[in-house]
Amino acid sequence: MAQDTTVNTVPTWKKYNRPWYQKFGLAVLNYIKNVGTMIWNVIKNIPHAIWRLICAIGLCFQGLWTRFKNGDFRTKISYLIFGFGCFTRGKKQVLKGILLFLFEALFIVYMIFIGGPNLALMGSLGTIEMTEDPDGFGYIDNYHNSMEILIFSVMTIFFIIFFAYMYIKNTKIAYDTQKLVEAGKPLSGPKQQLNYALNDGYHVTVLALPVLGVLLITVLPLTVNILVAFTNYDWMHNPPAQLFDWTGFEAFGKLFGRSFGTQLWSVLGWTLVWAVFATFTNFFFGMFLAMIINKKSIKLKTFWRTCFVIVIAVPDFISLMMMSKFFSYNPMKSSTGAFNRILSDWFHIKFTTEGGIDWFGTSTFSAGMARVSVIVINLWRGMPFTMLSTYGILMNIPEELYESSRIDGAGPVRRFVSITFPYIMFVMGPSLITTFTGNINNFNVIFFLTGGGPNNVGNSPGDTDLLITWLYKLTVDSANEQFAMGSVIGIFTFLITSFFALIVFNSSKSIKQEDTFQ
Amino acid sequence: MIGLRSKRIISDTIIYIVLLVMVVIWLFPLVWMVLRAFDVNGNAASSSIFPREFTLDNFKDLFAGSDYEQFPYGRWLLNTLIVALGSCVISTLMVLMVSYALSRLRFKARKKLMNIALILGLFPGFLSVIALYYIFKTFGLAGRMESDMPFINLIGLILAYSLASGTGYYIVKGFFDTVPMAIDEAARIDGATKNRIFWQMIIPLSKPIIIYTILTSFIGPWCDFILAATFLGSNDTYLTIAVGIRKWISGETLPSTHFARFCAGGVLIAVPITILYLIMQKFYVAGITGGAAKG
Amino acid sequence: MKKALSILLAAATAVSVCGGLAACGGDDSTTITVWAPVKSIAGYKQVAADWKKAHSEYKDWTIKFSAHEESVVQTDLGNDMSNKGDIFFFPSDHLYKLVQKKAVAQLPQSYAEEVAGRDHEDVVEYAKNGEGKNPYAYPATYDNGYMLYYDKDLVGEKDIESLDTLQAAAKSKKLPFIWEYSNGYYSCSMFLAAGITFDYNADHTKYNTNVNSDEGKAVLKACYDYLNPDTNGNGTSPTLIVSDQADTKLPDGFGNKQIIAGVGGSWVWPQIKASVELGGRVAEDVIGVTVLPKFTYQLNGKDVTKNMYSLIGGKFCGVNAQKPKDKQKAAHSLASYLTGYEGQKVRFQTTNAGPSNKELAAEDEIKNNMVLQAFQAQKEFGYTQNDQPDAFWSANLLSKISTGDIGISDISKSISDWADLLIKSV
Repeated sequence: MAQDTTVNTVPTWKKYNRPWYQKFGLAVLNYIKNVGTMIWNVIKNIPHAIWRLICAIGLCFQGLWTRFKNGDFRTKISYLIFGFGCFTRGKKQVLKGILLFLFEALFIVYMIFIGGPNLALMGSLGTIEMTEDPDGFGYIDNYHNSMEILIFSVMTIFFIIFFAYMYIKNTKIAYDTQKLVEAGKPLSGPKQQLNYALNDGYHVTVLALPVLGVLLITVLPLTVNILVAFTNYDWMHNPPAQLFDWTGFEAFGKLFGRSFGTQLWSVLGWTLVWAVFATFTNFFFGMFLAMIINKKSIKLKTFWRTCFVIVIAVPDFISLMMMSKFFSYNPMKSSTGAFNRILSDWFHIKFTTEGGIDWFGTSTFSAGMARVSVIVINLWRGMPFTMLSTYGILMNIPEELYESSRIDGAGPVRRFVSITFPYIMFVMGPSLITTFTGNINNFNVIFFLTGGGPNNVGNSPGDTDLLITWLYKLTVDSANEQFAMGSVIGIFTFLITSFFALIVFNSSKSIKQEDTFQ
Repeated sequence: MIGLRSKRIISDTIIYIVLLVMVVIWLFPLVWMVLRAFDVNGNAASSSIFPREFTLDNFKDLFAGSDYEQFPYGRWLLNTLIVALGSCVISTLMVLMVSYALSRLRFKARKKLMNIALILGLFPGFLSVIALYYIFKTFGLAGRMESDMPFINLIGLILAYSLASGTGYYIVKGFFDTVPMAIDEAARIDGATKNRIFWQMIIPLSKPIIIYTILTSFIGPWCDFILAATFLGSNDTYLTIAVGIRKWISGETLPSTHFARFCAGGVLIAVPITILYLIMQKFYVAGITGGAAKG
Repeated sequence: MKKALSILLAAATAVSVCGGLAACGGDDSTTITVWAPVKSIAGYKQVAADWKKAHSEYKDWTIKFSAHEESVVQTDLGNDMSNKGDIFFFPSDHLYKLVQKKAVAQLPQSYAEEVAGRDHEDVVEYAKNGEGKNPYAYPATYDNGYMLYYDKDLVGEKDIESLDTLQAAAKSKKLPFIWEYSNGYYSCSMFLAAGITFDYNADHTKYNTNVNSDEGKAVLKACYDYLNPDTNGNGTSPTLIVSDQADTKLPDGFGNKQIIAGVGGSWVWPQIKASVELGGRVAEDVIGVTVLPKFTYQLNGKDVTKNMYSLIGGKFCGVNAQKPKDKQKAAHSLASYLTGYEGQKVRFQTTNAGPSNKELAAEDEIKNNMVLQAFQAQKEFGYTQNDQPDAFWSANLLSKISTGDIGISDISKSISDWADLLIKSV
């Protein structure tokens, strides 16, 4: 990136002689400046990118037209019947031609049965609602399902785009084959085509199925969901019983406006605070533990490590559900959770109420307590992960660095700050950011421990609700589902996470060097 | 003045004590859960910390209890096993293919694909659950009625877990990157296609990391709840473990009678998964550290 | 490596095939799935068997039972009902939402007449969902309401008359009294007693409540007097009114003689009975049930004493409307039978559920059941439970009072905030 080196007019000697807080402050300012310039570059590039896209489309049409003009009659017919240009030019290309033709046939069949009807209804999202069957049992069968219409319309649009691409490809193939024949060069037979697929074109062969899978399972539902944010899909407009319609930015308005506006920002605030605390408590504790286990004179390293790994090996929904009951609270001693009992029976700690401390705020509705408990239990569950990763890194730090620094008279703290810590940060940097964004979306911990509470009121977020658990509450877990609003929250969450992720990924050295590792 | 050696002994002892305390704190809740699995009292909030009476009934009830028809734990195990096996096979293939392509092959859209994969990974996963459900339902792979081979729901679940796994290529790609290109070039000079290089050379060299991938994708379905709950709907016989077990801990009535059974059921699957996980760790470490030493 | 992969593949295929074969046995188009609460399943199985004997055209059909608590059936049904239970039990106030989702099928004429003839008018009327045509579900029970359970050894008739006397008794015995005021279901009791209404209008476009009024504020002030931590403490303080999971704590408390009284529903009675009898005593001798106590609030300078109210409702049994026609026909027949005389009788015997069936309700066994007697008496001070927004169920004003979060000066504002929240929830 061109902005990599910033102009620095400070004389070099002064750089090293500054007190540490000044260095830190400068680094932060530098960083912000870098980020700013990067964002500005992206924005500057957008109109340019759009222009390039338009040019590309224009080029495509131009290509189509020239090929049509210059093509012989076989090529011209290819515009109508795929693959015609191929299988009429001799035995060798028959396979290719048949494949192309089958593709076109598939597309046409699809459009007739699924694509066409659904696309036609996309604007209205269905007009026939479910009505009762007059002869008494159930409902008449020919109703429209808005969700299915939406999904299939999007699928059809994808298919149409792909079809357009194949159309252009098809004409290119026909034209090139024609040119080869005119120049007297031999056409490639099936054997060579197979070889191409397995060698030079291998990336297409090997990526075809995964990419298709991703398109179907990830991209398609995602697009549908983004579109749902512009409808009024909720419990009162719930297919298949009712239809829903396009409503533009109404759901956005509801979320950012009066009804949920303040709550959205407070949930966002807590989500970020939670992500920061969760990531960094895990990181520091894990690093600390890895360091003390890694110390040369400690025996039974594997044993200590395995003990902690067991905690993460147990599936998290089991251990978290169990923890929610382990830390439960009840004003009456006989019914309070095990941890409270332990504190009062074994450690003889006296509490204000005989039931112990209300860790999750279920009776006292104390938001602060619940939040702290959630972070602590997440530490319990997550620290072994960071411990393992830092342990692996620590093992790889060359001993010579430590030896030479010891000879130079550096104490343990200095060794840590100058060698261990920067090394770990270099390797773990990107993974820390991944963990951070992962924690923003850390559904399991919050959901199984507190369910988002305390102070769970209907569709409003509770005190420990992250954006994502609130999303779950709005869509899956309630009878007053609000899918449209849920989608808006999803989009919002995505923007937040991508903001953090992209910035730091782009400026992280490890990613830059990814390609040149070998 | 304290000698260097005794200073070390003191600091070591302190460290041992700290480690011991931490291990106790970390493992205690799990030990509690295992003990509760043998508890006679099925109430989540019981009157004593540790069970007073022990019994094996909870485990028996899992497989042959009086309400087995409502909570067929054995079937759930079988279902989850099927889903896990199916999805790990497909997932591993997908991940290997994508990692190889992105690591070894150079083509125009390569960087773009990697960026897109990154962005896709940032969306909250279960936003798409409902849309996925409808898509699969239309192809008859999810939400099938009981009169209609609900077994296929499981196949739909396998596909939903594994078809999109190509985006999780980081670790395997990182590993492939450490395999020297010299091997590829030598084979190419000998006339091998990229296909052959992939299957007959790279794969055998990557045993540890492949086993790691297999194990990771095997463990996944055991722990997933949301997608499974939506796809499998309501037919009690065809649920997976996560969905089934959750019944015992939700609502108000069941946690007061079935908590011990929940612990028993949880322990029963936690043990094999823990063992698999530990094995997987070994392979992961072997893959990462052994990567540099290849000839 | 290849060998390992191929072995894995073979294993996967083998297991899948076995699983598939195992699954293919059994033609499920003649299976009816019933979603019922865990405790009633054993009883209903018998009734279902009787139904098959009585209807020979269905003798080859199988009936499967699935455990779903009534209160979560609504969420369990989810979005797509076509593959969920054929028959399900749900609480009466969920009817509106289920009709909206077209989840329940309206009763055909013959069944509608049958239900009208045999069940209590109030419930049947409610099942019509305000549309005046045929009901949308079969009434299964009519006993959703809560009363006062008390320990006859510890408190006498005079002590249970009002909340004040109960508190005094608790103070003197140094034992608590349980009232789950953190749960909106129980905490609305006093507001309803003062005549405040909480209702949607007919097509759910508006929510009406007059809680933001003098009565409402007076009631909250009275609650403050009863629950404020300064006067009433928490934990070990003797005037403890404990907000607790009544359903699980009442049995424990009565069994260990750790509470003097508690507010609970009729469904808790079997557990209370079991817990008390564990201690070797006869439950009916030791535990009494009666209507909820009175409480006093100040309105316009005068003391007003009212009986605490209870929300009254029942359980319905609905037939899934999004299933094939012949399934629905069979389901209607079975549902009607399960909620008929025999079905309700079995349910009473296993879970002590109060029947909606008029004939059954007139029988001695029911009439002499002290819990159901108390329920009948409480119905006079009852408010029909209907579809309420979440803001109603999760109202935590009383909890906040008990922890001191709402002080005496905050009462007006709390009431108006709550009213706003309710009205906005359309």
